[in-house]
Amino acid sequence: MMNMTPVRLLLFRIYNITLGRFAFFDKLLNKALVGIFIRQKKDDEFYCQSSSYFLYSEIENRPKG
Amino acid sequence: MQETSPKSRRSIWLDCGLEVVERILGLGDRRDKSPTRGCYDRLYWKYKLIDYPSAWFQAATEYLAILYNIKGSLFQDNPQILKWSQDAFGFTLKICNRDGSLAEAYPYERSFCATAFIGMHLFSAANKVKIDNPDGLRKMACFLKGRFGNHLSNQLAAGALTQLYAAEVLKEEEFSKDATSKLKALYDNQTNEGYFEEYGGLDIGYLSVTLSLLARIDKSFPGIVDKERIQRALSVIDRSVEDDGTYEYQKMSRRTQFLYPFGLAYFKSPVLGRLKNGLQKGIAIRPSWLDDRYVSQLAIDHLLAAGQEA
Repeated sequence: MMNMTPVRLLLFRIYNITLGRFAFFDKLLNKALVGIFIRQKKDDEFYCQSSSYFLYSEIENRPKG
Repeated sequence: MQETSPKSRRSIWLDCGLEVVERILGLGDRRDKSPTRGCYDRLYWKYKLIDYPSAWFQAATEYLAILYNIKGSLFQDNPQILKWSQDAFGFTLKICNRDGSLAEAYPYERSFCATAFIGMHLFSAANKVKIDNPDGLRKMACFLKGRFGNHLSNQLAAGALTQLYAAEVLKEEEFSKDATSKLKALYDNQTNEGYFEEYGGLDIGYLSVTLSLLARIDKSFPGIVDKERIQRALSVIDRSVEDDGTYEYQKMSRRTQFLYPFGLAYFKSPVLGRLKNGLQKGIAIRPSWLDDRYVSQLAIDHLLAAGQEA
């Protein structure tokens, strides 16, 4: 689990406004982020706008879905 | 939302408070082994887009504690709801600065506002679901002691309530004295017209927040608040709010558009009926219309109003 911190955010933004201005480096960053936050993640940590929401099955004794 | 009592038979306050339950629970990190378990700032724990969790989202702690106590609901005495409330409580204490303060807008901010309000929600939750962490709560109360923020009325009322809870839970008289000084500072903000000033003027939305907090004080600590002052403030709301629960928000000092109902219900203001009318017509703002940062607070107030009306 890699949460954002002030230092990480600072480094990230420095990259964004320097090398990140160029398409090649932006694409490189994008690949790295997809690798770290999507491809390497287990199911329950999957980076997706539709995951980790509340389901009633979490408080009831019935199957998920 | 699943509920044992049919929606049509529920009060509008309960309806408004419960229709955001799935959304609020969805904001939280409910994973058992997660280091950010109990965090309700989804931009932080889930999307990792920001570098600190804003304390404001942790009002969910009290929202869940209230859910746990709603009679006849799916959430009543539900062990998961209890655990999630305790997790939210624990995470809030974890993100406190060393001096007990909380950050709302940037890392290491020592926000009087966030500490006063979230401290109040934590103490209140602790009462409802028997969470016990006096040391963590004491740090918050110590930070608030002798501080008045920017002397904003709603924040002073929240600070006073937090300190009264602290005095009761921690059995330390100094916090009670601090609550009295915060109430005095709040009363100093009352104008001749009767409202408590917010940023140099009248703001009906914030006035309803202040009255809701004063109602909470009067309910838990009878005899402390000055009823005559409350009646004067209520008369300002009475004169300003239309039959559909709206008011000229463009003329307010903070341009707020909502009304907090609990104070109106507790002090039996006729404005409560107008707000109800506006909610039924779909004109007045309900918790589900607010953004993620503020949804829990307004939902809590609606649930408190439902309890008052019951």
